[in-house]
Amino acid sequence: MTMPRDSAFETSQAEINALSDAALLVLYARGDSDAARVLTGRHLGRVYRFAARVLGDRAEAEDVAQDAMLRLWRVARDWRPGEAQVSSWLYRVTANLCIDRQRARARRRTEALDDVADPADDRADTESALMARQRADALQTALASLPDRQRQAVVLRHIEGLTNPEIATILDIGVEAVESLTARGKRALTAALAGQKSALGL
Amino acid sequence: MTEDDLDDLFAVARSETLPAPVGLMARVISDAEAELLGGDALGRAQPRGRRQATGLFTYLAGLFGGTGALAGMVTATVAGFWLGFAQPAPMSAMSAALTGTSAEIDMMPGIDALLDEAP
Repeated sequence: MTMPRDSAFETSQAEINALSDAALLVLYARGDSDAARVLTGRHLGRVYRFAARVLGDRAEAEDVAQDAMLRLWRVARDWRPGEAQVSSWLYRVTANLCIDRQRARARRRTEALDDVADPADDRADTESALMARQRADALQTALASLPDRQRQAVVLRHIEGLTNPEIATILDIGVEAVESLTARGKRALTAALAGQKSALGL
Repeated sequence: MTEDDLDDLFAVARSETLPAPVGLMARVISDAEAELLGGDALGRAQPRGRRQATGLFTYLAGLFGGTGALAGMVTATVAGFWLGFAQPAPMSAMSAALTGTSAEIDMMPGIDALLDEAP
């Protein structure tokens, strides 16, 4: 049910932007859709990007990202501040949704991210831009060959730039397990990319 | 291919921003608004990260704000409350509850008072 907006709680945009994620969730649960807008702005990009790299497919990543955010809206009323970070919680939900999705469908060859047209991409076709594109595609294809958890750990560590303790929280494993996953993942990537060194200009 | 080469590839990937499409943002916000309007006021099973918990107890727990919220309550009290309340109703109320049809909702008292924030 929608709570009527009480003028005493009306907040300016600047005030809303300064609120913590947990506070925004409380506001949202009370009926403030602006709080949802700010949360979306803060978190959707990361969730989508992570899903895109793990799944190797932008369209699927959109579905997973939308699903993850929907779960956030549904948990808002029950959110207990201090128990978890919203960002970690979202990463974890996204990671699990990705695994569910990849188990449910038959294994198929993963498309490189650039196979899905990006209308906003207006980078000039310089040689360096093309080389960067090739490198990104080669990495994405190699990532697709990893087991799910290794791929997620490597993406979180080396592309999203999270720390091992943060990744441990997200994947619900110990820090040593994270280190083991990323080490194995990097060895597997190196093996998958063997022989492409000169082609990628490395 | 060395670790340094791999680091170069990671750096390229990091520089790719992959922004969320505008349509996706709109859908997510529209979902947020829909949840406020339509929503789970009568508590379907709370979504979990891994699997949707199903079952009668989870449904009942959802009426009171989720199994987390029930952690401090005596389970029997909850079951007893529901069963006691459902007693006068015919068996169709039970089966309606198990299948989660909207007809069941009519059998319950308004529980908005239980779910409201303090005024």
